[in-house]
Amino acid sequence: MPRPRLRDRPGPEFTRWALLAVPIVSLVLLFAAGAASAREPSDEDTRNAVVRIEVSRAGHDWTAPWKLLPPESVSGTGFLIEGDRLLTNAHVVRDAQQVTVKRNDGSAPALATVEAVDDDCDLALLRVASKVFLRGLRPLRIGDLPQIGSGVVTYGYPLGGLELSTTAGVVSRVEHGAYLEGLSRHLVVQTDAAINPGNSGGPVVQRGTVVGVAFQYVTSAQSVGLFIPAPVVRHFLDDFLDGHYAGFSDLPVRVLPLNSPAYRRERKLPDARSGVVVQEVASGSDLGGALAPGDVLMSVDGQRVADDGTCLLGAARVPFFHLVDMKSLGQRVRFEVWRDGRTVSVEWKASQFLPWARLRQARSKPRYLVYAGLLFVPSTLEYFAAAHPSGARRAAILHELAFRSWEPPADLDREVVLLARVFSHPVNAGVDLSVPFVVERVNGQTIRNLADLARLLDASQQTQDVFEFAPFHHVEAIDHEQARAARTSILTTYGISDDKSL
Amino acid sequence: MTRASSARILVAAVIAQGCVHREAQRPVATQPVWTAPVRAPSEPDPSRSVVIVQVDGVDVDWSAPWGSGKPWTRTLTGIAVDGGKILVSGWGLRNHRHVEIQKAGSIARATAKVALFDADAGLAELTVEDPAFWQGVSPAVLSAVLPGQRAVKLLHAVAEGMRVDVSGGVVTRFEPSGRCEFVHMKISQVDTQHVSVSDVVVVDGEVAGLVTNAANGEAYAVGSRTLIDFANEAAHAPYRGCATADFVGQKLSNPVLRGSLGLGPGDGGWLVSEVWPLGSASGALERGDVLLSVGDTKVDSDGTYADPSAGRIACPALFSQGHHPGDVVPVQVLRHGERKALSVQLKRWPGDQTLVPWYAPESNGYAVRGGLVFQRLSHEYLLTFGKDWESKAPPRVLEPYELERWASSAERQGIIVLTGVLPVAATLGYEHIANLVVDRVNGVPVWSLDELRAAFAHPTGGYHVVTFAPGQSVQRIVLDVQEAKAADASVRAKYHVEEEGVGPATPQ
Repeated sequence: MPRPRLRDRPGPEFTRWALLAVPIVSLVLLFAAGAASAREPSDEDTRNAVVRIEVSRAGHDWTAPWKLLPPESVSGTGFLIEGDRLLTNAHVVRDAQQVTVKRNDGSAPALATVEAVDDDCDLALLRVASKVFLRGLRPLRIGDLPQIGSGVVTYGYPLGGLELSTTAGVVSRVEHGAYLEGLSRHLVVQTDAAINPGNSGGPVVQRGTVVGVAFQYVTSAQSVGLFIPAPVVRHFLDDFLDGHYAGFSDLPVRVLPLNSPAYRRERKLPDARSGVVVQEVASGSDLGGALAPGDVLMSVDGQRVADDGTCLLGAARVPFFHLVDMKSLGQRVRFEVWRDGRTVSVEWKASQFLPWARLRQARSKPRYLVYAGLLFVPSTLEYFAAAHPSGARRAAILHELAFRSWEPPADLDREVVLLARVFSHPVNAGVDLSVPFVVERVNGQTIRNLADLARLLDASQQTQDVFEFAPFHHVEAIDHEQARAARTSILTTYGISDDKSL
Repeated sequence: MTRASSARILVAAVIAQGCVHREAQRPVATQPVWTAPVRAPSEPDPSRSVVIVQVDGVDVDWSAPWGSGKPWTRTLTGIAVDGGKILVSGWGLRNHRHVEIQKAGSIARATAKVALFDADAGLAELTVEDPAFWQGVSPAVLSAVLPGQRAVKLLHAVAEGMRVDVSGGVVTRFEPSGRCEFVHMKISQVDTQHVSVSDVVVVDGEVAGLVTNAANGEAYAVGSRTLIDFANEAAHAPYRGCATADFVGQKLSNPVLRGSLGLGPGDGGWLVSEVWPLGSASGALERGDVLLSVGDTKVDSDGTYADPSAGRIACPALFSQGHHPGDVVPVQVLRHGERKALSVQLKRWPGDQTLVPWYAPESNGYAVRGGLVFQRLSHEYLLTFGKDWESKAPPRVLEPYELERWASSAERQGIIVLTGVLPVAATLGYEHIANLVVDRVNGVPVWSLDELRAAFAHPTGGYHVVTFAPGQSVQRIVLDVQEAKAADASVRAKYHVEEEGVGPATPQ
């Protein structure tokens, strides 16, 4: 079952939060030429290729990060593509412990394994071992970005029944939008074809070709379904061709559409030119040599950027970010900018911004440290969503997190470490903290990240380890030898499998 | 949030002159002619002191501060005290326009004047010039002591019935509360359908307090000792308001930490966590000090002290009992292992000087330049995001409120926010920008609306350049100086918005 609502992108507001993959299972890739037949697939071919996916999942408990949540069953949709793989949404198979796929013809279900998953573009590839299961199925072909106003048909297994369901609509608009599962923004296509819980991972088809993968809908409006368009899907699939999935690049810049005539004059931009004003470039990113605040970004790889930040892609206008999205890591991107009253051409190799990549990686599996009954975790959206779902403090700390990712990363390994909980034990008697609190220093040394904290405590020669927390400077002290002695007792008492996962 | 309830308490103080009895310093009534008390001292009848206060007001809509917000009418319960004054509690007089007063059972209404409204203290003093009103009204006896844990009566004015209803409750505990940290009593088993702000708490025929908040079966009431202080202070010229020590602390319940600080088991002590730069304690207390005593009263390790009538009270009350702004409070601290005797000279609670004040400033509330609307960030502004403002307001404006709202300094006095854009020719292209924390205008750091106005007076190169604090989606915008000038007139014509000010003026 797909997530039933489109959330606002949680937390920090980034102009661009492009992608990377979470650690990906390396792929023995046989995208063997499953020679597509010249015949346009019939509706029956398409219907046969769409499978129901049932998942037993057990996600991590981010408030008790050493254990899994109780298992639950969810379902979604997938479809066969070339190479005998099934394509679906990442969120359908997230935390999957077992994946079962069922054809539309009543035949026996088969087990599938997750071969690759990228939360940030919300796509995943499954492999079915059973050749019997795939017999007679014709893989669907991935097409292109559909034109606005053109008709599309969705296939899937939404709630309300077990049989395959189809809905029809038109392409309403193309946007650069937030993706549910990641801190990312990619191209998103909106349709009025009904997309409901269970449709997730199902193909959106136009004349027998897949033009997208259904993945979200807007709960606050009617008939606003969203699908991942074919170019993003192809980027995901192509990335596997070399057997190593690298993910999407980051473009850590903030831009402002150049819609103000005054701003345009102040930049002395000729009337014939267009573009967006670079507002901020994340400090420490390798983009710093190419783009600078005040630049007017006029073109990307020769594609003119309009004043609203869009470029022409076929018949559609898409945000210029999409052009960078489609690059592979290491691929050159040429920017033309207006700087100091003249045109300057600069190049940049598409890459990922390390602090953001780390934040995304942090989402895959919770890390923690238990010391003297104090539970320390890195500050992640998952932790806050699970432990502190609302309130000003959460918003403020999330903003602080976002802000820090733009700060000059004198230390790229810096992460915010929180005291998440205190497991009461004589060794921490009297420790009086409301949580979460940010760990600032231990024994006078600034804490850079969770591993740093673990190392520091491990190597401590102090009789008492003194912790300083923020905000509102708060101090606690723990007897070091008592803490060592209490380790096993605390883990046993509270059923904690290990004292750390770094 | 154990720490929130004690550690993060702003140490404040209000104060009467030496915590004197009301009778000892009764001001001389000059006007109106005060009728002789009709009650016998042995048979106090507080119902003869309770009056019905009808308040009409108009709130400011801080999402559009140039216009009027919704007009409202509310009924408060007032208590007549010596000197021809009426006390009311709570914030119900905020943005009042007109106040009338009425006795229970009487159809006649008299116009009342708000002689003093201290929004920080949540207390007001009204006067009524019409001598006829005072006939039959008895001044209440304000109890000099807190009632302890016991049953109380609550008197509640009902305007429609021209009557005063009586209900009951039980005092369960005492704690400092509100922005001035006055000692409040918590009253449980309250019928909050019929109890509201400013209702009068009565014990044994004497007024024990006035309700400041009531919800979910519970009410909080400011104690009568504070009312006595307030009434005395109201007669003091100039009125000094409530004072605060302005620091927060943490409990010292961790024995290892106590040991590391050199504290013995019987030493008590509260660890000073933060000292607000503009507050009273600044210059005296330091982060890391252990507060051992205030005056002659020992501070225990949980940050409380033993009050003879109220039990354990958080130590901020030691600054808010019996002192006034200007008073010097001796304190003893442990600093770097040494005991030190220090003095804290109390200042008035610096509400409007905090980085993010509770109230938006009543004057000087906004500035419009070239169609850009600027306001000082305040709690009141955050409330414009609705009931769920903590979720709905953008993190970039919540963050300073949540994490550093007290932390103003002489240089950093407030946070200026571009709250919105009025679409005119000069703002073409910026229509959708809102809620951005301003960093500089024309290269000059801006921490107040006055600084903003001054900075707008000095554009460079024919453009106004506004830059915003890091970490926000927009970092820099530009206005043409001439277009901005023309926009000011356009804003007036199109939207009826003046360049500065705030809605209708509040009568003084």
